[in-house]
Amino acid sequence: MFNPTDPIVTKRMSFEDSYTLSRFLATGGYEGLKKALSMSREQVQEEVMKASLLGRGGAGFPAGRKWSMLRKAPTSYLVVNGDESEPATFKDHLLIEKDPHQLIEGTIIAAYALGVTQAFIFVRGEFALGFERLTAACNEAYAHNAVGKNIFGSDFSVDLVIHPGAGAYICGEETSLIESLEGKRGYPRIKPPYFPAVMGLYNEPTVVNNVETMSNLPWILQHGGDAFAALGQGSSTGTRLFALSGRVKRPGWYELEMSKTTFRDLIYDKNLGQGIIGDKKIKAFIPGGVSAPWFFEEHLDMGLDQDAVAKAGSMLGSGSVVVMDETTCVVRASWRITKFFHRESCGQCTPCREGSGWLEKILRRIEEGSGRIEDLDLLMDVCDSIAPGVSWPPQQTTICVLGPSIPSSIASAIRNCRDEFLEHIKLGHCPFEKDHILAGAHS
Amino acid sequence: MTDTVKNDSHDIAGAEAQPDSDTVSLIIDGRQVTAHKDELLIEAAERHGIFIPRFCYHPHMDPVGMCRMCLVEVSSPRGFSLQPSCYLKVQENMEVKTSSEKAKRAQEGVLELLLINHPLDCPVCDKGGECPLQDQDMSHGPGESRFIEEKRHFDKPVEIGPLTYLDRERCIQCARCTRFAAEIAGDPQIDFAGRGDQTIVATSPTQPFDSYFSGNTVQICPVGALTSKAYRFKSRPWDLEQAETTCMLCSVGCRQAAQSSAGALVRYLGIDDVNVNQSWLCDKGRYSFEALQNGRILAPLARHQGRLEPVRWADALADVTAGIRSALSKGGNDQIAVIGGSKFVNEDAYLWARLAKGVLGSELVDASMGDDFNAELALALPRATINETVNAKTVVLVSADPKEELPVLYLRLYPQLAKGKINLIEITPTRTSLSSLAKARIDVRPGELFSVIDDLLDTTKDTAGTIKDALQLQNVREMLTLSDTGSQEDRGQGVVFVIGRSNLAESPVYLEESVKLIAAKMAKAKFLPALRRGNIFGALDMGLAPNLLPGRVNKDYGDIVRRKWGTLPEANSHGTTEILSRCAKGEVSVLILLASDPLSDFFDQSLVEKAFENTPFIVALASHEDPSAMRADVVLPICHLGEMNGTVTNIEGRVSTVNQKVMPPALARQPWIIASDIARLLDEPFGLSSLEEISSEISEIALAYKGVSLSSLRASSRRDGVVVPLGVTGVSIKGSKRTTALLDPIATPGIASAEEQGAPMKSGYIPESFITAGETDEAGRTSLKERSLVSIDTLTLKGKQDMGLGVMPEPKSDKHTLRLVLKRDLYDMSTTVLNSPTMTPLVDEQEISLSKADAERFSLTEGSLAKIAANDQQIVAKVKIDSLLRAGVAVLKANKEIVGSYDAALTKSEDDKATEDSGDQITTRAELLIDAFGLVTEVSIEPHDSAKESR
Repeated sequence: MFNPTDPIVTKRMSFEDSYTLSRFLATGGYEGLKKALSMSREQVQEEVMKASLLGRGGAGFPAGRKWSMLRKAPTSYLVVNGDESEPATFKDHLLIEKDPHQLIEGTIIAAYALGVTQAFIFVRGEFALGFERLTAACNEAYAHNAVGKNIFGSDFSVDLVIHPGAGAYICGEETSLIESLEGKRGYPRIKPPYFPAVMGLYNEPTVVNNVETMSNLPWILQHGGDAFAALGQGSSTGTRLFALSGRVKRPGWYELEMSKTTFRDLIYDKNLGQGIIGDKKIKAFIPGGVSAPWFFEEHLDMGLDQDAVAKAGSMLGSGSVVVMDETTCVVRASWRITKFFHRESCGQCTPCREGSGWLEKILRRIEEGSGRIEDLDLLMDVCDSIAPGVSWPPQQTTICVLGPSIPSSIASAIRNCRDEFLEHIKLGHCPFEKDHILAGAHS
Repeated sequence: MTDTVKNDSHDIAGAEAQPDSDTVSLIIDGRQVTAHKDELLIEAAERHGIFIPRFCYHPHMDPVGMCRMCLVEVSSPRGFSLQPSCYLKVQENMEVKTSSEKAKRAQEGVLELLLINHPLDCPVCDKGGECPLQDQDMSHGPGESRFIEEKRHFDKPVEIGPLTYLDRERCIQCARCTRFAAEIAGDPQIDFAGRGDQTIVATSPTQPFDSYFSGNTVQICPVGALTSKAYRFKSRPWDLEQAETTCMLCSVGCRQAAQSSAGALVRYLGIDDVNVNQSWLCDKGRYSFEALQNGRILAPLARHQGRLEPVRWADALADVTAGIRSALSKGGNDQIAVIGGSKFVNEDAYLWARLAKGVLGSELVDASMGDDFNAELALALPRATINETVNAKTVVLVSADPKEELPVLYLRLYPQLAKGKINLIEITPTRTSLSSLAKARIDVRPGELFSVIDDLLDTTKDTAGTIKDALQLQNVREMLTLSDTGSQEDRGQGVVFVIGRSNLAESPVYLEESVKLIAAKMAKAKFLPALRRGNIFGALDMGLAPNLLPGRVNKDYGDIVRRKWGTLPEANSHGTTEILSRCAKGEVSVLILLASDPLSDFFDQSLVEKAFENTPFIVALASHEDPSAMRADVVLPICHLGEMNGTVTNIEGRVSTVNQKVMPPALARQPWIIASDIARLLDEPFGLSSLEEISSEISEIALAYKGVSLSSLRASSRRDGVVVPLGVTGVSIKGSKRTTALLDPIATPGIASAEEQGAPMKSGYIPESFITAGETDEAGRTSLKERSLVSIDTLTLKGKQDMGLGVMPEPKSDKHTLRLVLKRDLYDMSTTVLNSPTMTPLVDEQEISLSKADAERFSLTEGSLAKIAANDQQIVAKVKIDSLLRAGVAVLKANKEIVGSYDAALTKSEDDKATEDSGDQITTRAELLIDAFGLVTEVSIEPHDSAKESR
């Protein structure tokens, strides 16, 4: 049973010096790695398989299975994706900044399990402090022989490079990240043929894992995969780090056992979100990052469970929950989200490049009072040009999933809050006060 | 005449692949079709007549899947889904719907989105009327737009390079131009900047888009975003008339469409000939149409009282004939000399060869202008095609930089090298544009080529004298198949040598002997003789060269020709250098220039000057007022490419047609007519009254041209030419795409793609099948093997000693002496460039490249002026320090008069001027320094103002 006072990935967060090697070692640091090195590669893989650790980047693909799909080749790479850039998502930010050694330990464990001798951690360019601490930690780890040649006296050697991104959301997409890591423009690659497990970094087989996924590995190795799998239920095992923001009294990060906690708990529990600001009525919430379709009041009692959320037509995604209350304008909210995608579209595929801009312009026009009734159908139709059918999971016309993510907020808002759009059009202006749209999203 | 070219029955039927392990079977739009394994879906569909709309896809570039226009429904285990057909490969049993409701909805969606930010300025856009966006919006678009917001705005047009404008608002971000620049041309000077719908094509602030190939981006731009300075606002597509033709600016022979409007040539577009240029052109070729309008000679001119004045054709020809008669009356065959002819079509060249050798009996005939190497040798070598070269295992560059001299050959080589598909070995005196991709590079000091080749091929040596690095030597030998223990006969398998003159200041003897050595020691090696001039191979094949007769035979096998021509010169004939030397000695009475300009275009300027001074009567056939024509006594105006018909032969021996698109200036004539008139006036008429008749005479007596005639080449299925001599089985043609579609190079690159031709026969051998009944010579010999083409065996393989290497001058003790490399660059002061206004500013300055060590030795700094002296001549040039150049070598550029910024520096003050006037005349023309008979040119260098200081 999960004990909130003994969490898996956030156990050092309360320490001021949580990012230092001394604190790390004093709190069981690198013990998981030592244990891993005492095991065979296959045994380490087996433990991770047993833990049924789902990838924490957003797609939720089991890490163990991802590893097993790596094409056998003389050279292969491990790349850790720390380009967390989605609005309202700030879990990797925390893990990189506050516990960099845990991430490095997890990375080296994965490198060992995969048999790679070169690993990279790609850190979002804007994480200046995180990059600084991770780089310092990497140097410390080299000095401590946790990275580098013959780690802890074993015959395993791996080099680790910490690479700062240049500030593009799209580089969180794994093939785009790989391009960027190669020094190129951050464009997602076409698949086929560029599946990372087959043709990844420098065209060699590559595993790309999320920061939180890696950060779980030291615990799994120390306590065993079964202990991890005992937490949560079904395929959603272990704990997850949730980022709560929006119109809640106590926004922030919470490490919670998967499935066992509900959205209502997260938003309203006195130890968690503590309810809506001003005790207003909840209107909607985003269950897993701004790419995800919205949930409404009827979904509040659903557990934080990957399968349940998917079944209900959305995704747990990056684990960021954004709360909108009755004072939130959904037109403005979906415009704001669309504006983000418009600005971050890489520009390769026509539907995403042009569609995002068009959608943003229409939403803005409606919000500013110049909407037309036919704009609602037009919005849905442009969404349909980007993601045919505007369904979930989306069908796509583009190289990567950034494009098909754009319709999520628009379709959610129009399908569930059509009246609010009509009111904007009828009134010729926005009926809401405008000072707190998605307030707290970046706190 | 037997036409052995047989292919009409193949055509489209030949495209239907037979089911075997290399093919897959799939269903497209309900039709069961077969496709090549690994073929892209969009291409397979297209071969079967199903057009899938596209923008970013281009048949000669790797797919990027960016525009999403080619989405079609494709079956998968999870049902049908939308997939981009431009990067999806066909698979067995795949089912594809290209125009289902869902596919159409996706295509319409993409088109609507592409158009939301695209300006509706089609009425003033160059592309309007031939625009893939416009066309495909009509065929696959939603019909109307629902976009009412403000469109995106950018500054426009932006001059991104000297020849190209960019309108960023029209750009649809398909990346065709940026991919072309990076992947095909290797000039990544344009790339995307910005993100999302603010993505723009941009150049670096300090580096304009001045690629030699920039015009291709204009041609492949699927909208009007990129426009060319030369064509911008010149015409509307529906006013254009088009003829397919072949570029004659270099010997690659790119197929191109010549387009005219209101009687003037306004544009060339590359045709997708898979064997040659694959739709690309170089900018010099592309924009050379401008030269038709400028500097033309409009009427025959004759010199009266020292001045050239317009005369009637009859009078001009009477002058010429009188001159010839008077020369002939002096007796001997060495009174009349003919140089040039590489700008002629084969028919012109043939008739001029017949006139010169058969009527005038002259042995002083040469089209090569002395900058090539022994023509007999060039024709005797086992020749590689361009496709064989770019698909070889190893390519050895023993020639000038192909980017400067044979640009589209470079363009074909670059992507293959960049992808690591071929090994490149460079054996050149200076680095080329391909050096960075070479697996091995041997820096050859002028005069040492033969020693290097000799050392390389002599596998008994572990480390050779000239190649110090044993490992490099071993690597090179491995790539050359020399280190194999296998049989001697297989040596050179898969190796192609590109051979040409990398240094005009070095005697060709080194190259010639090296090549003979290679041919002797590497039985399977093939060669691509990098002779540069337009139709030089046609001219050589037609006999406008020393010792050669039409059909790639030499005089020893001239019976067939002699029977037709009646007479042939007896003595051995001579190349341009020897001809000019005789002229200079006053031994020649009449010099006839066949569209050649030795004053600008011969590497020993002093010799040409003397030749012109000492030749009493000079006749120039010229299209433009070039310096040599203006020094002639009679000038006969001739047609230019675009104004004439005929056939040409390219570097690989491919014969294709050139076709007239516009009328020549009223009084200009095609050269064969002039030859014919002169022969008639000399009472030895040819009895040939049309190009077609000349063409049949060629295919009748020119052995290598058996079965090839103007009319057979004009057949639609053979528009991209055939390589001569034809193989025993004629031409195998498969996968034709050309016959069904109207040629439209802009809309559908690839659809216009030409036939693939079966591998040609090895040169130097005529198959038995060409012996036609009754073709026996006086001696009764019927076996053509006996009278084979010029063969390498018939050329003596001289030894080192015979070459005079023992007496090669050692560098003078003067430490200020360097060995000169004289090389060409693309934009020299040629007639074409100087008469094409958009290209003229691209001619850059003369400069002398020196190694850092040498520059320091001579106290020269980057950008300073140096005085360079050799052979009692001196010139001035700006110094460029080249850190990659070996010491002891100085590099100058050919055909560069004073131009550009240091024009001013040379004439900066009256004071300086006075000094210069009192001394030698200041020039930057490197050709002054060279002695055509020297083995290497050694120059001494000092700072330009040192004379002033000593004053």
